[in-house]
Amino acid sequence: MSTQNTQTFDSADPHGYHTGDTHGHTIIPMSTLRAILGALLLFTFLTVFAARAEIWFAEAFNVAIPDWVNASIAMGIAVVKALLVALFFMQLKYDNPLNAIIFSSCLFCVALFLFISAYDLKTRGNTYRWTGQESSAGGTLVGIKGKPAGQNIVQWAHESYKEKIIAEQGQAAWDQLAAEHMHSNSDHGPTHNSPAASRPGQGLTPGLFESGPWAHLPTSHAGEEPSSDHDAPAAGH
Amino acid sequence: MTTMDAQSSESKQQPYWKKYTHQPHWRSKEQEFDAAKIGMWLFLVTEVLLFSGLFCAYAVFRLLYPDAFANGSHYLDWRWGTLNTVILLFSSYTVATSIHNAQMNQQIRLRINLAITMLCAIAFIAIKFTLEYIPKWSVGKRPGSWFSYPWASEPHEPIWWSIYYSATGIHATHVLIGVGLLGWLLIRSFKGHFGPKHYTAVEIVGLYWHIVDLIWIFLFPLLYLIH
Amino acid sequence: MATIDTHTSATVEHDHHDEGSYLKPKGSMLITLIDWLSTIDHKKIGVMYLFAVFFMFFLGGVAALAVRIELLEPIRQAADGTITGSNLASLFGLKDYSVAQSGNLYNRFMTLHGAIMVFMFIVPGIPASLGNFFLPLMIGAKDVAFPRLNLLSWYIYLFGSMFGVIAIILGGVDTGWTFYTPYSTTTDADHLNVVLMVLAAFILGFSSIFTGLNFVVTVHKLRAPGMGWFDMPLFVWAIYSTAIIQVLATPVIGITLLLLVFERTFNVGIFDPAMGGDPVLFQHFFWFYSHPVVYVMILPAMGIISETLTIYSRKKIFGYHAIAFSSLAIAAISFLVWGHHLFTSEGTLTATIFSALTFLVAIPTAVKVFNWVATLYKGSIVLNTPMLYTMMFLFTFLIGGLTGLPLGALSTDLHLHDSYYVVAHFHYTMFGGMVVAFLAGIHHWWPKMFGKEYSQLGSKIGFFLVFIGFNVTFFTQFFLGTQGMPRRYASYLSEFQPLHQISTIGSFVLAMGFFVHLFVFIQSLAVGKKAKPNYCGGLTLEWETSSPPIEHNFHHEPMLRHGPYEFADVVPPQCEPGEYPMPDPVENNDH
Repeated sequence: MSTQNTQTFDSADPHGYHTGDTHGHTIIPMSTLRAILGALLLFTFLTVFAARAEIWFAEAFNVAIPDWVNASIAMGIAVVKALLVALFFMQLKYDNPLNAIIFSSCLFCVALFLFISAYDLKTRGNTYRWTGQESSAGGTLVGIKGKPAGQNIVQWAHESYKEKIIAEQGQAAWDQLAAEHMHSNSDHGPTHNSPAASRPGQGLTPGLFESGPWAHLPTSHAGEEPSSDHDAPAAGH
Repeated sequence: MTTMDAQSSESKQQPYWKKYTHQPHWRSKEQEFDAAKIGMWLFLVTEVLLFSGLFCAYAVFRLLYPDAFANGSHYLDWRWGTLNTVILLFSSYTVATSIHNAQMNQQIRLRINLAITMLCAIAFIAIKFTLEYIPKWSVGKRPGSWFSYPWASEPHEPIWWSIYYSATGIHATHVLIGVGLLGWLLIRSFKGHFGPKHYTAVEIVGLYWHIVDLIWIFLFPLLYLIH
Repeated sequence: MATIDTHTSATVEHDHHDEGSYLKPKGSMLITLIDWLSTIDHKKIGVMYLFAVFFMFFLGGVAALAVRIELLEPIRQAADGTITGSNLASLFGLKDYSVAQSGNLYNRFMTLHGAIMVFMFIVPGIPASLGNFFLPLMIGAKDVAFPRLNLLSWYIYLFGSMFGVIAIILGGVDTGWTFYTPYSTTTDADHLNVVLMVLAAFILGFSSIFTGLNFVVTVHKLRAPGMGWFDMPLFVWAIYSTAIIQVLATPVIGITLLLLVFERTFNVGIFDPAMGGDPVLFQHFFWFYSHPVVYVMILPAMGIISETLTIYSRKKIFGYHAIAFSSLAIAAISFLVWGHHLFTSEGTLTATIFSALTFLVAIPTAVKVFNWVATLYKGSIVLNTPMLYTMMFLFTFLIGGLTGLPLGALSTDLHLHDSYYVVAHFHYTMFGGMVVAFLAGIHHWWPKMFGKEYSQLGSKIGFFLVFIGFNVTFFTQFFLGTQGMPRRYASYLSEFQPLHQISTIGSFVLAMGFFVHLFVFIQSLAVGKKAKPNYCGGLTLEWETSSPPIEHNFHHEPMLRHGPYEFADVVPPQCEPGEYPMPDPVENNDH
């Protein structure tokens, strides 16, 4: 690697410009760059695969997979990818060590900021419950312009849509629509950490992947009939 | 100097990158290059800390309202997220390659790689807007009090959308700035400004582009994959 | 270095021919003006910052006087509906102002004072003006690392300040400088004022980041040959530590204020309980920046004190390493204590941890103070204006620092928080610390910056007015606070009135002191005697060039021959400052 490096380098700069002892002028061979790209793509594939596999596993075998498994796999792979980018693409491995020190100092700050703030907001109500809890889940829209106070915005969105549909298309149309969306509106409830926590992917763009390797994957979307296999765990619940 | 042509190493006039010395307050070009990199790393630190606010808001609300966030990630299409990740990773590779090209005086490849990077950035933005923002916005999946999606099941889903739009929006702004910077590099590369002795700007913009990629490497699993 | 081409060395030699003072006009008024506005010379940028910052200090000071005028008497409404004590409204000739409207007017002036002083004066104050001017000189550099970025940061500062001024013209902001939600998300919902003010602070943050970034790189890469880290003057150490905080903390306020702008314009609800958000999150976000930034305000001040104290005691600083490292320690600890600003809104356990951590800050701060006092011991002290201000700093900053401890202790804080005690405490650290040291620094370096001496008598009169005015204004507020006067209120119980009136009288004495200083400076620029290159006998590198410095800072590349404070080795005993043997005489030029 290094010999190839010097050879190509000499042809580009016969005057021997790179005789100094500086850190900044490392030439990273193309083979390394390609290998890093390959590794990054592989890890991207792995992290997506792990996330999809977990959903499939939970739904197929109706088991609860704890949150932290999914979260730590995803974040662990993200950290590895970030390290690869920082060390090779951003040349921290070859560079003036000062730059690495600068970069890690900011990670210290980020960690401090993130953990203490998150910890405090999570535990704020431990001693005096009234300091920590929302008096009304999701807020009450008090003081928000153009919205009636008294309910949270999710309820408001649901109710006002309902009124609109009933006024425009009648009660029957609303009943049909509501039946179609029951799965998203009432099935889950506070069911985190349960098989039902693996929710149907509602955001998949409709119609784009209806054939090919993705054909069997859920393509349900707001306004479409949800396919039966994601309702299965919810029904079991 | 400004109308330097591409194959300048053969032309009689010396190319900009050979003539460039350094600004008068530096003692050498090496020192100037080193300082520019340290300065850029400090700037990258500020970028990371800027996003740390969004990551912090994400962490806090994920802890407080896990169900809303679990729903939230299922509203997103992981396939577009993956595609955008691949695009950004590839553009990171091309920009790293363009630095290699500048160091090796491969002027044509330098331009090609910079152009590919810029196209990737534009593709990222295009996918983000046409396939993610607009369809979601139009069915009422909007941040805060703009929220009007009737079928949400958790009372805190508007907060999820607030964080989604803030984080990806600020990231997309950075990508757009990156498009501008890459365009500037591309123009300068056509004037033959970069070569083995002088490629500071390519290196600096490259670092910026990598940090944009790094932020996305974390945003992608946080928003699309954790459920 | 080996890599420099021959023609490079030639251009370096060309620089020697330009020997004029950096203040020398380049031609007609217009050309000179354009030259100044497009300069990348750190000295000119420093001077431009100095005047911009002075102007902002003036604006903030006027707002402070307005606040004090309103507080001369409490606003009262008699049974027949007549309103008394609405001083600001009557000052502006506003008839039929209700109690609520008068309070609103007061809130706007109070916010104006806080926001201008913090974002446009204290934070950029010393680093951007004196730091810009003297940091490169002190380390023997020709300029800062990125001169164009330096100019850009000045323009960003102007641009940001312009946003602030527009917000004021449109009617002002009444949220307090902290922009706490939900005040900042609910007041003036139909107006742009708050958004503009928040954007102003956001933009000013960029200016701060660029300045800090520039200084870190300058200190790392541009020190004179032979200058190791422990040969640097302590002012440079202080500015370096400050710059680190600026780089690490300011982006967080950037995202906070950006989210606040989103909150107001798009109602994203992250900080809004009506939408399921959490206002305490804003406080965490805000103070993660704003506590470290307290040390952005005070660290450069400590740096100035380390300089003036040594030079005017003619004695080597006591504990150089301790002072240098305590600057870094303060910078590091500053990131661990932000929670003490929200003792009453955060969780009990978090508050306990933060309270314990807060006391850590006292250690490096006390290390500095003890070292300064030890430096004075057996020194031959020169009591000129900068030294008087240095003494005042030791006195007032000590009060400011020690009164902070009861606020850092949870139990006493529950009584004292949000009272005038807090106001008095932070004015003793911010004014008694930063402004006083700034004044010491300006008086110390004024002849070096402008080449003109100023009237010692005039500036000493100014000093005494400032000293008396400041203490009368703010010491009374400790009593007000412990008796229960809450901060940020336009009206109050009648028993507080005598103390409020004393405080207001003090504030006018203080203002008078500043006008005396202003007069002395104008007089100095107009008719001042020409200053000697080393009029105060300093040993750091800025004294090796002429006063004012030449365009390229040094006649030839400075070489370090002695440490920054080796008075005993370099200076013969009983030597007047003007007779100091110059380490490297300016007249002795190669040409």
